[in-house]
Amino acid sequence: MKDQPFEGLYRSWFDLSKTVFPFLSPPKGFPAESQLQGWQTEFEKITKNILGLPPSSLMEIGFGPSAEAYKDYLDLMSSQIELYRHSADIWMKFSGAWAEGTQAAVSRMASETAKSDVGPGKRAYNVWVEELERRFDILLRDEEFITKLASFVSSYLEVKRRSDGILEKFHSQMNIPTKSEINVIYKKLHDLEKKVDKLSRERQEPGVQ
Amino acid sequence: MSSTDWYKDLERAMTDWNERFAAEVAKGSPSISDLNGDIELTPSEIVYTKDRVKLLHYTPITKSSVPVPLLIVCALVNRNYILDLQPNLSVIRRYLERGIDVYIIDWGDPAPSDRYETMGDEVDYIDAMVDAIRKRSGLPKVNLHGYCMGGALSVIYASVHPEKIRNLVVQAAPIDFSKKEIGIFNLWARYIDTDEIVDTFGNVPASFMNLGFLLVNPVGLMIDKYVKFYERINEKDYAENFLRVEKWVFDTPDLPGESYRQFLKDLFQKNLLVKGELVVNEVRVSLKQLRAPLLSLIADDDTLVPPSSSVLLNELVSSRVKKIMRYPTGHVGLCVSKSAHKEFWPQVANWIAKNSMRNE
Repeated sequence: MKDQPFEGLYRSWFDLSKTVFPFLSPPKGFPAESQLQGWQTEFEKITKNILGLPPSSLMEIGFGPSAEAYKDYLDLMSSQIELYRHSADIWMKFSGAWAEGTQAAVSRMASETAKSDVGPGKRAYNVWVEELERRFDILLRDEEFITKLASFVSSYLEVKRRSDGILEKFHSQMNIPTKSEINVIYKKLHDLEKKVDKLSRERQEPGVQ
Repeated sequence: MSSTDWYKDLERAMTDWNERFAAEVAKGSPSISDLNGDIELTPSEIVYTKDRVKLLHYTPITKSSVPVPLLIVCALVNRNYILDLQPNLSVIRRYLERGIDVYIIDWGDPAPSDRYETMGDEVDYIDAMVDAIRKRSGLPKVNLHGYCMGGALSVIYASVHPEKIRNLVVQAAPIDFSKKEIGIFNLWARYIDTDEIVDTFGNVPASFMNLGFLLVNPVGLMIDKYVKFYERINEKDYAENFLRVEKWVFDTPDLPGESYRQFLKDLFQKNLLVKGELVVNEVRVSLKQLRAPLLSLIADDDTLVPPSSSVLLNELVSSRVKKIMRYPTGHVGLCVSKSAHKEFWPQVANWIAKNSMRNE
């Protein structure tokens, strides 16, 4: 089989990606719906096992805290799937910039003449980095990308809010102070400290408002 | 040369790098394990504390020849030892060598309860530290040097309390956000929902901000930087300095939530400081109130705080003595570049000394 430019690099890159983000690895036809669905099923199974919550078919006839808790988990799961979708968008954009930069470097190097002071490998590397940096700089300033980045951040925060919400309910049921309750105390404490600080200064420097 | 040949060259070069690295590791990698990546801090003592924030005073290394002490204010998102990494690359030492009495603020690590700390509180912290120095020195005014976000805070402070500032030095300070050639952060700040971040996190996690810093230049900061390090790993000075900067880069505290919200919204998004509409501690901040001699230090290749974001300051203040000093390096390079320590920082120290002795 004929050598394809950067076949090895791509392979190692995607191998690495698979380790880090298993769900993001396929470079084509992404996001893979079947993968997400498979993951969703697994997730559902695990949560059911852990919490002994009713299966989804029973949810509609479930009532009280169990139905509510189950709904919270489903919402959390949906928000996690949204997060993966948005991270897939980012990943696709990054992969695109990576591929474009590499392609541009390949074209450029084909017409570059050898320079005596730098070896061919280092020269190739420099051109590659230069082209990648140029592509990424364009990408990171691109309005469409930034919008996707904002959605990604937003969906991450949504996951955090939902899981925090579940914890809040647990804490409340177990009669433990919740994060929101503690935050109210933090705010009061902050305002009081500020007030005391102001009064102390006024006492030290009479007449200063 | 065909494109496939080139690809093979690159693959060969990368394999070569990998093999060299593996060989180094296999033989106990003396060039790595022998490196000293510890920060070599100039001796100092804590002389004042307010809540988590500390005021450090550096032990003089020469007879004091500058009558006005200097307070350094760094950003809350980074540790202050970037100005004191190692003796030959220490801004603190350049000041001490010139006979300046140096203090620095250590912002510490915000606790979850600090999530409601605003920029106004930070200005109050600076004020408390300035008052502590005034009390110790018996002088009515101090010199102030602010770096990055600390530069913006110093400018705000010097505008609100002009009576306490003798000279102001601002280094790579983000002030003006109206220019087209804006930094990537500024651009992102227009799209990302700051309220959502603060309301969800409370204090903004360091890991979240670090990811943002890395994304500004992913190829340079996640690939090329390490390749270059590896290429020069046998140059002890370079490699040790690299490790120290690397340690600093990832040693970041969380940022108090409300302060982050105000900084992003009022400065980055609305540009209120330049417009004269910023309100801090119920006081409207007017840059026209800033009358102290002003020295703006600008790194020409700064991608985090582009020069265009800093230069306007000198036009907006009422200072009669004002100067801009530029140097061809990056945001952090200004602090750690060898040539900057030979040429640039001694001049900055001289400017402070000269203006501290000038009649007001």
